Amino acid sequence: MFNISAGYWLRIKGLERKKLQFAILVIIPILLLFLVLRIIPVFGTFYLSLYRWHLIKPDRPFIGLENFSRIMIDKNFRIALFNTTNFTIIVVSISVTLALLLALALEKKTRLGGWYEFAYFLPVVIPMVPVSMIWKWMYDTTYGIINILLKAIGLSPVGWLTEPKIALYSIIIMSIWKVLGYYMVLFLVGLRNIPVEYYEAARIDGAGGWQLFKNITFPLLKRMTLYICVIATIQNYNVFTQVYVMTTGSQAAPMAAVRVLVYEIYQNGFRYFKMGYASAQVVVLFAIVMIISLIYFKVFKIEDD
Amino acid sequence: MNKRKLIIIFLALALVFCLVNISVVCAQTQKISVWIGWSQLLPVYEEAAADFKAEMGKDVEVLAFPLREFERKLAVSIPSGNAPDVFVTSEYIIPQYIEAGYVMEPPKEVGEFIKSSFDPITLGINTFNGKIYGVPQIGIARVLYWNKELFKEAGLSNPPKNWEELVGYAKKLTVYDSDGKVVRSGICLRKFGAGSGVTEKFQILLASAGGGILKRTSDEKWCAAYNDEAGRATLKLYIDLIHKYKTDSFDIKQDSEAFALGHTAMFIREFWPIPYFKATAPDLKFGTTLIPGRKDGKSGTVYSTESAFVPKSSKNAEIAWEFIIFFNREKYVRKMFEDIGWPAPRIDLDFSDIYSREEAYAVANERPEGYIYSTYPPIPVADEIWTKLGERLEAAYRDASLVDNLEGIKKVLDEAAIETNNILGESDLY
Repeated sequence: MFNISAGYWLRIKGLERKKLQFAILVIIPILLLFLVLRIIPVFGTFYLSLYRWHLIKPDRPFIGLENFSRIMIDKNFRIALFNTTNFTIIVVSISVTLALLLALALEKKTRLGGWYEFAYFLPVVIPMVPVSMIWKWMYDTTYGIINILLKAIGLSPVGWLTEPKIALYSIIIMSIWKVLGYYMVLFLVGLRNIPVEYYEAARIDGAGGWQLFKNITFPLLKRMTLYICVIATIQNYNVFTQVYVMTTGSQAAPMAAVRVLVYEIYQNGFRYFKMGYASAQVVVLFAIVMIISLIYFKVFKIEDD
Repeated sequence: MNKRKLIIIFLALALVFCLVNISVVCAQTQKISVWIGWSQLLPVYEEAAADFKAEMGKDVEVLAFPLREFERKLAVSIPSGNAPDVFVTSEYIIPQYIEAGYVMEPPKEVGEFIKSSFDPITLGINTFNGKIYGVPQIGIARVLYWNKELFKEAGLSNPPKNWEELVGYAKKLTVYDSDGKVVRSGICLRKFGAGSGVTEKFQILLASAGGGILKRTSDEKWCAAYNDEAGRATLKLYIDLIHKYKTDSFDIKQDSEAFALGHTAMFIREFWPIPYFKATAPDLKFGTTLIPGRKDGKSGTVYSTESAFVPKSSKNAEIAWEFIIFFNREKYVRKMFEDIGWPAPRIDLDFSDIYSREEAYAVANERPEGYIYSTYPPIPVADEIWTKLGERLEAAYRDASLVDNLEGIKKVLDEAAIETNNILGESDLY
């Protein structure tokens, strides 16, 4: 950590001080932008959560923690929280595990390795809306390619998006497919940064494949795994686009089965215009993600080098 | 480069920026903006805007957004004074803006045009506190579509006139595979799809049974009305058609798409599917009819309108009203009706030539005596009530245990009514 004392500033002279002034000058607009676009909205959300703030009505009374106490008894919020947590646990655990396995398989550079990496990474670069449209078509009960294949092998078609017990899992499958390549590439970066000498030394000492993974690969991938788990959790608790695209409309899914937190917040904020209540839900979501992230840091226990 | 030069360059750039912005603002003073939430209407609005420019020499910029995005834009722009000069929205969206004092009353001559040109039902549902604020553009009653060829195939020649026939015909028209699964539904009911649409379709059959979603208890107070005998009969009808008689299925194509493909013999909608069918299924032989009543001789449907409003923040209100009246010319009204399937409830225009070209449009402006036109209530929480009730109905439609279970049906509706009344109560409307 930098420890800049008042004396340090006094010791800076001449050209160095000019450089510093210039650095501060160029960084101020960015900081201002960050303040306006990030920091103020975050505090603004906390502020709104304490009011009955309707987007259109001019009367917006202060109601203290009433919005939060309403959340506690809001059945829709509970369903959304359950579905989102379910979604996040499944997507994070499966996608991170699969990504690690794929990265281990593709770590050694082979002739087709690059093609495999490209194939797995391709879904990442396609925007979520077209991907969701494609999967919605693939999941179509009557004309979807998946049901056509099921019928071809003598199985009954499945209501992938229309059957309440299946709909959320259909979106989970698509979401895992979408992010797998990204996590795989991150793991590959981590794996390729592990010095080969460590493995060579361990092999000389008689270590086998599992021991190499347990004692060298995984410990040295801890930082990357922590990073992936944290961003995956944040991303998945914020799941919205695929749910919105794949489940709205007359050919779509039953709402309660796929209700997720951000969709619930969107409904309250931008459909019913209850910005105060929606902000309180955002604060709860923020707290949940923050707590989970802290748990990750505790579990992974990474010491400074 | 020294400090002085840098300051001069910075000031010059700032000056250019200001001048450009001032010129843009000045150039816009004679230009009005129109926002609509239905992209299919855009070609007609754009044509009218071009004609308005040619005839009146004034610019009109028309922007169309997806409906929900449009509603969000209005919610953000109107209170902040950045609204367009004209916006077109429905009678259940506008009350909150009128109540908050954001909407302008029309000039006297526009008011006279409204009163002399539209039918009483349209005028009635667009009257708020005794005043009409917008110029109605569209008035849509929901109707029953029936596939003439599938009816003929099943030995039926006319559409159903009452619920008994509706159920009987649906049974005859349904086709099953060897496993007993529905491959063609007799009637496609709106059973799911997040949003208020599920409730709206329920409301149609509820109206045909003589009921409604809400009822007024005093001038400013409302309560849930669907947990009555008509509501229970309507939910029973859904449950019977889906689970008891298996004339509909969750696992096949739904709605207009299903009808166009011949996967259903009947469904209920507005008039926009007519041009959609012409474009996507030109060989489809279909008809439209009034919603069959629960009992002979008494029925109803949902009726909604879209009107053009001018916000008080408009700096070009005069041009805005001028354009609204211009757009109500017969040429554009006819295009909206025939090309897009959005009928205007005009009593001063004769659409008989359109009806002769497309018979399915003929019921658009039919207003039979005693027929109930169930509308959206002019309250800000209508969308929330409709959406949340829709979610409960979705769950009920899937519940086969509700077959011949009147207690269960009553419980579903009573619990939903508590939620509806709570939503009303939160806004001091209960």
